[in-house]
Amino acid sequence: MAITGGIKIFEPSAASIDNSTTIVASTGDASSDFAIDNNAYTYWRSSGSNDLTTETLTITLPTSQAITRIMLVDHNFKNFQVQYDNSGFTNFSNVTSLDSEGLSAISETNYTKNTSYYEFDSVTTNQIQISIDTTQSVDAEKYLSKVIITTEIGTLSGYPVVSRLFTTRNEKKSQVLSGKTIIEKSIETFRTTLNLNNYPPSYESDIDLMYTLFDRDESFLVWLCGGRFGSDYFRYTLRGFRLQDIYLMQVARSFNNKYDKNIYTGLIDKRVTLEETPL
Amino acid sequence: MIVYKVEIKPLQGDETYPSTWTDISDYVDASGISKIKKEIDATDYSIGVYTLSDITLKAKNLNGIFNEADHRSIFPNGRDLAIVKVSFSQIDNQGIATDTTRFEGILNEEATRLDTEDSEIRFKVLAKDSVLRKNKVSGGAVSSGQTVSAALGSILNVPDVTKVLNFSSANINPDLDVVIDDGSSFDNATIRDAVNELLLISNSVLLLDASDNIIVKSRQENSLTGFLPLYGPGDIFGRENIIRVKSFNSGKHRTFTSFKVNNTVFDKTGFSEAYGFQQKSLSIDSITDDAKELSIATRLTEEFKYPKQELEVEVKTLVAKNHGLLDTVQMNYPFQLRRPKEGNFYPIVGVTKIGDASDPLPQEYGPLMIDSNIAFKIIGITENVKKFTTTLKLRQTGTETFDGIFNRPESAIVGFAVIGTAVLQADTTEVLKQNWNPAIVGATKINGLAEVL
Repeated sequence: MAITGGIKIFEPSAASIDNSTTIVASTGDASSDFAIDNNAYTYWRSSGSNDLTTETLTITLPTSQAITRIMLVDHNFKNFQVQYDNSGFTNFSNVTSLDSEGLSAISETNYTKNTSYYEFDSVTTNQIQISIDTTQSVDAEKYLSKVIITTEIGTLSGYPVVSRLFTTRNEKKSQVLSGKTIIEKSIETFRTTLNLNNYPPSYESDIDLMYTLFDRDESFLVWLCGGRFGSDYFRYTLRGFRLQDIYLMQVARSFNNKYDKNIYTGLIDKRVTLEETPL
Repeated sequence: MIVYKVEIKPLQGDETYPSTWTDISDYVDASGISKIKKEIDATDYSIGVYTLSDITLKAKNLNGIFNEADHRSIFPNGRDLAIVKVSFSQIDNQGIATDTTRFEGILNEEATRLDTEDSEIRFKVLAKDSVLRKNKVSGGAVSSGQTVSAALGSILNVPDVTKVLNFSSANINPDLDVVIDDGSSFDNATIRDAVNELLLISNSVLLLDASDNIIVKSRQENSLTGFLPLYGPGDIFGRENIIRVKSFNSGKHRTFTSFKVNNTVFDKTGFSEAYGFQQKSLSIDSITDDAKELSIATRLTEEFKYPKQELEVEVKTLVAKNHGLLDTVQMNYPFQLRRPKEGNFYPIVGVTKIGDASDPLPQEYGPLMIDSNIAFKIIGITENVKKFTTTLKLRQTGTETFDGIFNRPESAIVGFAVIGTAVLQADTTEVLKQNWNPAIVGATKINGLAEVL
């Protein structure tokens, strides 16, 4: 695997419907805003496309800014490229993908997964273009749930226990006269607790990262799988650990810290609770 | 980072206030600021004019810092009449704070209480409009024959008021500037009672802006542009910023199809037939002329004849802090959509073909849907300092069956003309100003003018 490290934390996507980002699609433009919204169930979809038609999505950020990561979440692209504007659309350099590293561009010819992730040398730009030629099913309409354009805050070197992995529909229960329960479900939200138990001080960068998140007022993106996928890593991939499971979250509770057995030169225990936020 | 800040300016020996504020936030209890409230049309079945509530502050009187006649105290000349300010402070990553004043009032010493066991002191801080409650109209201040605007000037442009609030006749623009018949009816009344009567008969509201200027205007919303957009859980783009919606209602509790001013009655007959005969009676001493009473009754009936939706919406204070009374709000509160099954998608208007198996119409669910084209105005603001939330009381704008929306549709759209409720030509005495045209199914533009033959 090309991507290294564990759980990854990113800045919120620079491409967002909340910040005046614009997105134009070659077809299906009526749904293009769905590729930069906060709803995992809405998609940009092409209209009348096939494998002979190259579709483009052009995303214009509100300001020119430095980026180092791009993620295409939940799509069906097989042959596609991603470029940035540098007085003309230009390839990224020193690209690392989920499968390879040292690539000279973001360019796939036989992609089979539903989510793509790329790390590359920093570029400063205000426009990204995604060009899609073919789909994983022949001649299907192209679709994409989310494009994330961002920079990385940090990657955990160690492997904290991911306990209390809650995927909830925020059920509201009311008991009626018969004794039965009416259950109303809302949208799916996610929260989790990272237990850095018996954490060796050699992983102090992870602890520093947790404090960085604690100090932040803005939410951040959490990718629990960190780019790991497949049977080598998951016999069964729970929701929350799939490639497409990347959530905007915030530290929801006070930190619970201690030195193990009160030995200041020993191991560290730390618990971090994260909850999904809308903005 | 966001915090609330409490600052104070004690009265000095020369009856002036210092130029700088003293920050007392570190002494104020975490739950020590009661809710900050301001509203018009406060309660059901009533039409009010303006309410700005007083607040209670609870603080730690550590080492007598809030005592009187104590050399350790911040009050060199007593606590009474100290100015208290509560601000909402946003601090950015560079530590630069941007403060928004949420409340400014005058400390009322009469209600101060100190408990020594836990060194807790409670202050009552009166809203600035309390100056209207604590002073009276001097005899002869209002003359018979003055207009409402002139009468308001006579009552408000006095030293007792202007030492706290700012008055300018340019800011006094009542909706119905009727002429007063008997100015002596205001003699020795509290300024608040006198102002309330003048506002009521002129169908106006009184607001205080951020600079403590007294504003008198109609109940019309400030502007349909620059509205505050709020999004519910069903927003298709996931922009949710509403915490909860409460007390959604049709507005019938504030619908009056008839007003009786003294002995003069005005009935809006067509609306009475549609919404029931709901009469409000007013006893107005300052008006004795029948024609004026009729004009007042008519104007008030026109204002409240048609039920306009009302609701309360709770949001984070950060979302609503720059919006005040009579500002407009857009409620984007669609039904929530069931998630498409694996492999299916939400249909796209203008793209999805009827019968497309991969884009079935989604199931909608949820107890309430509010169309985003309905325009609401803020008629009440309650700020919860402890929870950093604000509850906005909203009322649909407009006064007619066909207004209260952002964009008037060019054709009749189901959902706006509510079956069983919408009434064409509600008032049988109303004369239409345009030529009648026959209604053609599929082509008719219903705009309150077309006649269905």
